[in-house]
Amino acid sequence: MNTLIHVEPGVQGTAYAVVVALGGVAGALLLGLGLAAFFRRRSRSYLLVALALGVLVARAGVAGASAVGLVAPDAHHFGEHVLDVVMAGLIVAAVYYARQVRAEAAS
Amino acid sequence: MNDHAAASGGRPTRERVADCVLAHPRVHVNGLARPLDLAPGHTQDNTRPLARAGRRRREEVSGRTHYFDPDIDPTERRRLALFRRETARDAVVELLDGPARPDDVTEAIGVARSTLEHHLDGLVDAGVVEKRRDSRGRVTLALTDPEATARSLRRIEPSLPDRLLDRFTRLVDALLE
Repeated sequence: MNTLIHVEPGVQGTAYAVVVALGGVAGALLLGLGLAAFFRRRSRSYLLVALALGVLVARAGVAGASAVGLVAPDAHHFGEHVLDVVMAGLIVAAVYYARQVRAEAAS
Repeated sequence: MNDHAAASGGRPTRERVADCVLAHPRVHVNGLARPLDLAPGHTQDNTRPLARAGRRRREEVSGRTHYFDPDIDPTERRRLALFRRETARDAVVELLDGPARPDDVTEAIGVARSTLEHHLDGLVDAGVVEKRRDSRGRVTLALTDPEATARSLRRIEPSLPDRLLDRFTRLVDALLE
């Protein structure tokens, strides 16, 4: 019943590993870009955007850990949805603080 | 190391690094590694003694280390480091046409006001751009020395990571605007 919503490792072993690895590499590149931008700007919004991009790396990490059996499939599934919430929260906070910085600058 | 020396006719790495810096008047340390086929760490080991010997000058601009031929004067070094940034370059090129209002510049180069202000901080500080205020306090941006600026712009060869980082900050500024 739940096989359609979640591809278990081993079912499509190689494809799974390639997709997780690509996600991890792309996430790491974006995290690097985000951190470099944060170190240049030193604003809270940029830090939050960098952390949100870091969640992509965490997602790949959870998927990789699940593939080698460190995380149970159910925990993996739940963990990824938790990370979605974390990423959304970080972006909302980044937008919120961007507004606050401008309000301070205007006053 | 021996392979590198053999590939370049047996010349010591340090000499090749020195020649490369003289050939490229302003280069970031990682940019130096590429044409010389060296690891960045290896290049740094060879550039530090050169900096100490006065054959090239180390400069920190906005948290990055840049290396220059010591013949380039400090003002020019600062300008070149700032012009590595794509947005700063775009804004300055726009001002080569003559003084302009900040809003017109942001519209012309397609960036958020916060992006322009970030780059203006450095450009005004380095004396490249001046903010002129009229009697009603409205700001007009102008180049202090358009000819020197145009000369500096012609020496710039931006790297891919620099472009990516610059475009990423443009995007984030625009999204958060």
